[in-house]
Amino acid sequence: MLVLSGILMLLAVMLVAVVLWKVFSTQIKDGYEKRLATSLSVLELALDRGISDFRSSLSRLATDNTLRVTLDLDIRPQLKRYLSEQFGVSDFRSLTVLNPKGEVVARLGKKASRTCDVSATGTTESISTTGQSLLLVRTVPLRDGGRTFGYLCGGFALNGDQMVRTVSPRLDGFPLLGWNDNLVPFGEVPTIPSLTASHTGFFQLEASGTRFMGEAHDYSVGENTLRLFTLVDMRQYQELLEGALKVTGFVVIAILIVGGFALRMLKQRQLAMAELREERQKAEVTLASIAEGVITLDRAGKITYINPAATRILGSTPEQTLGHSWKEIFGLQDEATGDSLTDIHSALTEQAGQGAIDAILVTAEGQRIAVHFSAARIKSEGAWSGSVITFRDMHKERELRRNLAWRASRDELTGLLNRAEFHRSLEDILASAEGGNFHHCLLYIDLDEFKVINDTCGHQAGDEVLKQISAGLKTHLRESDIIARLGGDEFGVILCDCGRDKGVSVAEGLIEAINDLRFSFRDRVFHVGASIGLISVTGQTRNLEDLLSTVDAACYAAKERGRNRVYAGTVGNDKISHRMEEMRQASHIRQALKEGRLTLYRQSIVSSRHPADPLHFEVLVRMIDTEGNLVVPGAFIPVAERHGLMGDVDRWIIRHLFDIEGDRLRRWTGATGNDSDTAGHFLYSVNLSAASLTDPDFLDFVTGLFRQYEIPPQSIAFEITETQAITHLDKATHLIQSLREIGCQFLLDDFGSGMSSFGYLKKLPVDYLKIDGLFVRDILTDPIDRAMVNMINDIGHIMNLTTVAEFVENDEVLHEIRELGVDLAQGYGISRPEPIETPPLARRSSIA
Amino acid sequence: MNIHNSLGDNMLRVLTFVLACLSLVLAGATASAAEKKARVLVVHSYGEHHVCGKPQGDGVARALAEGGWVRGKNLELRSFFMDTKKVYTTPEAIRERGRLALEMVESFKPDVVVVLDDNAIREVLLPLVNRKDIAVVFSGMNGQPEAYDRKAHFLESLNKPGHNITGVYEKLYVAKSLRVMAAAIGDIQPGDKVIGITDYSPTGNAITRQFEIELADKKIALGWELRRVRDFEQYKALIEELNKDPHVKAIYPAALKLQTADGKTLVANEIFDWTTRHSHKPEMALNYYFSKIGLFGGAAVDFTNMGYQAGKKAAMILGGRPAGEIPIEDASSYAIVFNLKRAKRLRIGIPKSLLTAADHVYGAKGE
Repeated sequence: MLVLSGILMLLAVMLVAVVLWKVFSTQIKDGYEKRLATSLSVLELALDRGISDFRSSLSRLATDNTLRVTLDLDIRPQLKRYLSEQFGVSDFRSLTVLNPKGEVVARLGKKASRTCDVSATGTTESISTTGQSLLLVRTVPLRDGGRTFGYLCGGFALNGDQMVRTVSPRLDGFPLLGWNDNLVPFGEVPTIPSLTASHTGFFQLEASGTRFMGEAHDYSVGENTLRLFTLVDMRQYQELLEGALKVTGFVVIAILIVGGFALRMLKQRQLAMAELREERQKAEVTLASIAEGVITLDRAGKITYINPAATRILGSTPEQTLGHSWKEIFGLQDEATGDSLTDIHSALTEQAGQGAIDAILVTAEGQRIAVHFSAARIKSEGAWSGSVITFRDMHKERELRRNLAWRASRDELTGLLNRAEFHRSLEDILASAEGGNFHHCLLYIDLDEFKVINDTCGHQAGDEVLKQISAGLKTHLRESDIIARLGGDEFGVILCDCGRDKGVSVAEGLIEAINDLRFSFRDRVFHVGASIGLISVTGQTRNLEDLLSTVDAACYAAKERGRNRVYAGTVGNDKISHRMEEMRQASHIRQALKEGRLTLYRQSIVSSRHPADPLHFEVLVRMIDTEGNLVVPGAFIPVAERHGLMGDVDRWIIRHLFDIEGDRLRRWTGATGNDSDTAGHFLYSVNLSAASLTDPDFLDFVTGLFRQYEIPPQSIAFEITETQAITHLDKATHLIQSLREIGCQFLLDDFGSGMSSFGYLKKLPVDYLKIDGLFVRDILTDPIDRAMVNMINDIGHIMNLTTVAEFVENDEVLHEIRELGVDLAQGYGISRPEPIETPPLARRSSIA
Repeated sequence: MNIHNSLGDNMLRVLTFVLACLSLVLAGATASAAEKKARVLVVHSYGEHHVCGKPQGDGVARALAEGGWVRGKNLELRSFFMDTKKVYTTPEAIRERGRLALEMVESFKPDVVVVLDDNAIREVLLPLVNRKDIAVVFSGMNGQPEAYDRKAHFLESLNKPGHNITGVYEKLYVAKSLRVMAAAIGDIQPGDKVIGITDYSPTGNAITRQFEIELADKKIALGWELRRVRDFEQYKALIEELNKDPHVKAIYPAALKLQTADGKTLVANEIFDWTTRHSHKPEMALNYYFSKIGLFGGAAVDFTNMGYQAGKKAAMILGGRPAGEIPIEDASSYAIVFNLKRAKRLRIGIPKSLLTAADHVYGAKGE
């Protein structure tokens, strides 16, 4: 449609352009021809007037007595003067007076003719040319009765200067006169060789590159016929045509622009109509599909539209409702007061202050439905034309809301309150009890050995245990008591209005109840214990966080005291505080692990004989606190160990080492140094904690990393302490053997300070023996330490182990251990720990 | 002292002196040349305000000015009035006045002498004939040029006089005047005539001769008769006589100097004044100025134009053209003049057609 409109418009524009062009060019041409015709008419009129005046003057003079008298008297000066005054001698009018013999008596004017005809008895007229002039010569005999007393011979230069001046200002173009093949111009006329006296009508000529348009027609002067010409330079015509072309162009462009706009508007209108239809359809579909009831009313309150949801809610059909007043179909009541609402708009404004309220819709059948009701006026051109009311059945929504609210506050598994709700309850208690005289007990219950059931029987069994425990706990509590599952195997209880001693008693009862529960799985019977921390909540208790931390610490204290017991603590207790501090530190360590705020350092291990060339590096870890400060291992490793975080720390160290030093590790060839006795196979040694040693998944983790990062296992050694190894001998042995099989090496760290059982040493398949630094440090001053170092070194060598002296703090110590024959040295005297990214010193090449 | 140096110094002094003298002479000559103006002397036969002389003198001055000769700038123009009509009326007195005029010529040394009317022509022009240093232009000659030529040959031909004399002959256009008069008064019957009146002064004699020459063989509707008077008493008697003659249609008073009984000399304007008060006949005016002062009119010599013609010839001479190559001409212009007041008194209705052709109409309303 649009394309067709466009094509039609284009055709119309072209037609208009052609018509306009045609009209313009014809108009201009016609205009020019008209102007030429007008010019000729003007010229003709001027000539008519001039010739008529000339003839009249002659005629008048011919009968003038003064002429006769002066001619008779032959008073020539007076005659000349008089005639000049009477006739109007000028540069294009002349007069000759002759006596009866034809002799000139007076000659006036420049062009006084010498061709006067005195032979005829009557007036004669003739036309003659003199160069560029065309003269009309009229001879009038002067008679007095029967006597001819002279002749008047007037000359009229048809194209004389005066005529030119008279005519030319009113003419368009260049006038000429034609007579007997002669062409004489009026004034200055361009030379046009092709113009002849034979041209007639409208014609066009060219001269010197200029086109002329002209018109010619005949003009009678007495019995003589002249031809009048007028010519116009067609450049004006061409300029006009160009102007017409421009105008046409502008008109066409204007039409195109306007047409374009019109088409665009049409298109936009079509699009708008289509959008409107689509929107209407959408609206209808939407209205039909939404769950809200929508009714439109006219100004009288009669129903003009009702959607399916509304019919469903009202229990009526469109036919039953359309055209009826809404008050006939349903009623509205205030939900709170039960008052009927007859003016819906006022009700909305009064009650809700805006366009929606909760109300009770009463159907025609008397059914009462809780609805969320809104109404809006429809305005058309500023005037109210009706209303739209919507209502939503709130029953299900409210039920759902209740369910959600219940779910939001409950533990899904046990049905108990969840942690968030428990804390909210605590906050409410603290807020309402501020400064009051009351005593509540807050219990924190942590199940003992629950993990065993989960690990052994699976989570489903664990869940079942939790359910049973929850049920059991509830039976031992009052209605007023608040119980919640805080997560995992932790529960919280608030014994409202309960003294401390009573609280302890209740807590102990709960422990018994838990202990009494038995679970069997695959012929195994499990029983669960509980450690309970108890804290008093009084009117002086302010801080919820302190409360929670303290009860948590109390629970931990119960665990530390042997589990399956109650520990009643108080807020501000030192041990509890210390425990709380350590718990905070553990939390920091967890956060640091999560945020990657650990950093690796290394300390070189060198040959005692060539201390300048580092052979290996021990990987050390530092933590960066939240303020960017470096935290040494001693400040966080023990807390990490106690809180079971070392496994995560070990794993972070290994992954990070492989990530940073992967290239170097992959290039590591284990090249030997100068000394064949100190052939270094590994580049980095990593400390392993007891948690990693006993972690059954650790081996898979490490081997997986070796594969992932393509690290040659030979480049890595692991250090385990003597104590850890002995404590977990079997697991340590298994791990060591497994990793040695793929090429890793092992160092036995801190040897000499622990159990020092060389029998265990024989069982551990290690490669290096690190002499405890406590012995090395005082080797120069303490002979016993020296003897210990010497002995450990000898035994190590006998067992074909490479010995390493730690805590080598100066050259003298280095010298001494060298003397003793210890292979490698490590300590601040050799090098201080440095960030692992620091480029290592180049190793000395082997000497042939 | 070095003798050679002394001689050199002297020669230098002499040379310097000579050069200085030459410079002075040259400067003087240049100054003289720059200061030299043309000189024209106009010798009037009559007095300064004479009806014949004044218009001629005015005409001469106008012609000279139009020819680029401006008084005070490049022209020194002087006049000498012989006053031979009123004051110096005897032949001796006239000759004496002529001598004085010639003295002035000698003292003033004009380039051109313009002589007006016959007394000056006779007394001043004739003595100056063939003077190499002076050209003479005459105006208002009533006597025949040939008659003057017999006294002193200056005329080879009218077209090319050939000597140092040229001028303008005062043609009276009598025949034309008679025709105009006939047309003016109308109703001419056979036998009607015009009476010309002259005196016996030299001018009168010259005019008489002119009448004869101009009217010879002319056929005019009005007849002509000449009467001569010796004095004013005769004149008055003649007028009275003519008043009574019905065939006298007009008079042509050309007696311009008449003595009264008591010896007083009356000149033209005085004579005309009496005439217009006593004559019943229209008067033809010899000079258009005569009509202005009261005579009826007719075709009259244009004295101003005649003087102008003479002045143009003088300008040509000052411009370097020899007088002998400048034709002697008749006064070319005559004027048709009428005095309506006189016509009214005479109860003559001049035809309108003639009045419209008139050059001057005096005595009209408001004049």
